[in-house]
Amino acid sequence: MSHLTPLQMSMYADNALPADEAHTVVAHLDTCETCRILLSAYQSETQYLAGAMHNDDPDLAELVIPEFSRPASLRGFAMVNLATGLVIWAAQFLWKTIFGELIVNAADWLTSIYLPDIYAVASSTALYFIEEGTAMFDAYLGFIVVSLLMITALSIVLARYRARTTAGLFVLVATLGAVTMPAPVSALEIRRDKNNVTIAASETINDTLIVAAETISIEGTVTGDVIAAGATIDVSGSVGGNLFTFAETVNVRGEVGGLALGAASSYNLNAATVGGDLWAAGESLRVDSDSRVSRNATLAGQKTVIEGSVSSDVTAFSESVEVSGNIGQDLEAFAGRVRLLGDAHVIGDLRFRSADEDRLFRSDNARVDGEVEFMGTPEEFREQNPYATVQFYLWQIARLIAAFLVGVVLFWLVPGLRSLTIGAGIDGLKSAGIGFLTIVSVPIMAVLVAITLIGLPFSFIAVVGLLTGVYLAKIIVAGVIGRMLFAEGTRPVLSLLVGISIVIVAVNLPFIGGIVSFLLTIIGLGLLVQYLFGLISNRGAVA
Amino acid sequence: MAKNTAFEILYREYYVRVFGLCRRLLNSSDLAQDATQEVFMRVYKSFGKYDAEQPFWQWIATFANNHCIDLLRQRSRADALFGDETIEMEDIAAVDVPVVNDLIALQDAEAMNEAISTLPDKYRVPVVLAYFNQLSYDEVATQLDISRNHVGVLLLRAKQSLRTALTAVDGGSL
Repeated sequence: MSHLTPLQMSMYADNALPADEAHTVVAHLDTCETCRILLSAYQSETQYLAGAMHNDDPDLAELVIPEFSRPASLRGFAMVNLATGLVIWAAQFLWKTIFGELIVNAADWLTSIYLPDIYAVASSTALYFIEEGTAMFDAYLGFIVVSLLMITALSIVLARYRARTTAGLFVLVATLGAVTMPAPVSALEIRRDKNNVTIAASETINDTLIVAAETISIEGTVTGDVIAAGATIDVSGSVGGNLFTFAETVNVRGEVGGLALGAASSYNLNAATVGGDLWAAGESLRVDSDSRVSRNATLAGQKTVIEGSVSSDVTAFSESVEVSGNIGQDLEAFAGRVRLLGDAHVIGDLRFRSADEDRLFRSDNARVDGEVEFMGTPEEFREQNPYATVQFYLWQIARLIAAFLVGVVLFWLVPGLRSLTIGAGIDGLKSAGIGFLTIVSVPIMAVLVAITLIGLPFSFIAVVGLLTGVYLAKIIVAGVIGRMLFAEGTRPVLSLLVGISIVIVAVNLPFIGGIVSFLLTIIGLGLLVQYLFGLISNRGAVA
Repeated sequence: MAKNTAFEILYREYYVRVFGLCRRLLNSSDLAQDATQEVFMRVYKSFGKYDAEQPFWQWIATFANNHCIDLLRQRSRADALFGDETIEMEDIAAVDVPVVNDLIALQDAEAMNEAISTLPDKYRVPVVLAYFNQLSYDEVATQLDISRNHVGVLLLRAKQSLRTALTAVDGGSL
């Protein structure tokens, strides 16, 4: 009979033969002396091999154990992002609230509530914040730089144990960033004075100008934006960017390249040209006959007078609206009284909401090329039920098809997304939290990065990326939902279609649809961010 | 915090063993150092999922095996890291007792380890898993994603290579 093969020997010595084969071997060993001796040699060999390998290597004893670098990964990144986001958000919130909404809203109230002192309050608040705000702004910009550096440093730490090339790349990028980033403060010029600040006619400021004083007079040229607060502001020079003014009296006589936004007791354009929109709130607002607004005008005031021309729409919230100039498109007035005087010419429609139709006065020469529509007070206005229109359903079907096609392409291009799941409990919350963080922090970061002009392309990329992410988020969640309903991996296309249909129905539910949509978006975005982040760190591990 | 302290202790206790295993699998101290960090990183992340029923070393060794084998696979840039079973089976000659005893006769653990480190990945990895890590053939097969018989063939081949290498060294020194 034939002897055992070396493979049988070896495997038997390692106790690795299947039971039936082991029986055959045992039977043969009983009768074969040669094989028995050979087998015992194999067994000794295996034992010796294992023993030798377990012999402690002398250099292992001297091994220096490096510090364990705790995985900074997602959590660390998220924490830094969260902290950055919160601080910037707080700063931004104050800034926006005080300058934007609070003052404009306060002025808005004036159409209904008459508070003569509000402009004084507003301008002194603005003054205070401009004074405190310059320090805040400095700190703020410093903060962006520091936080960017922190994120970079963190990335380096993260990458350090993954791959040296990645770390090298990070250092390179950080260095390049530090070198190319302009000192942020150089993009701003700040002037403060208790009494008055004058930018002389011969002077040119190539930056954004922030100015606060009792009396401000800008006779020269500012190529950037102007943010001004004071009691009296007079702009007779030219402003290349946007003009933001907060004062008791604002007179604009020069040229504004961008948007003019202001709140003042009295806001006047005298032979002024505004390249962008005009947003003004005040007791008395006036666009004189030699002034021209190249885009829309939105005016909220006790008394609004338009003698000059506005190229696009005019929206006025006012007790009294008087128009004797030209309006390029529609005039919409929420007013106690609308008067078209002299040669007033409205090229588009005139819509006015008022208590009574006879509150509209038209002079003999006044013309309205479009329709004149009286809309009554908003109370009579009934919102149309969106679910009762055909367009609604057509639009939803278009949405479904678009999302479905995008989804098919997305999951085909990035197969890794197919395996995402919304973990139960904490994991789901984590995804939602990360998504929320992204949705909040990216725009803020984008705005801040855009302040340094060199950051503009980055912030543009970031915003486009975020918008894409927000769009894809619901598709990703739809994919997950679809997979939850179908057995894993079966009918991927159909499961996506079903998932998207469910999502579209869910986000259109009355009352809760908005919340559902928001939740799905942040969860999907969180999953996407986690996925992308995982991809980056895995790539680091492979290199 | 408790997790961190406990982990710190385990890290200190097992670092050398994990490093030793990674070094044997990867055959390089530098790579092993990076791999050990990565292994502990993964262990740290999955720490909450550790099942106390399982011996800790076994659990942590699985991470090391997985990670190192992944690295080797990436390095070989081919799916067939462990070759083809039937090709490996060719020319396995029957050997005599004295040949098998050669290995033991040498009684030199250092030379043996040296010889193991010169084995190609496809032989070294199963040897490390089976004799150093003491996994069963089935476990090795699962780990390497090959058949049990294939594991047996690779180990047999590995032992043959070791005999050849060691007798050559031995013969040379005489």
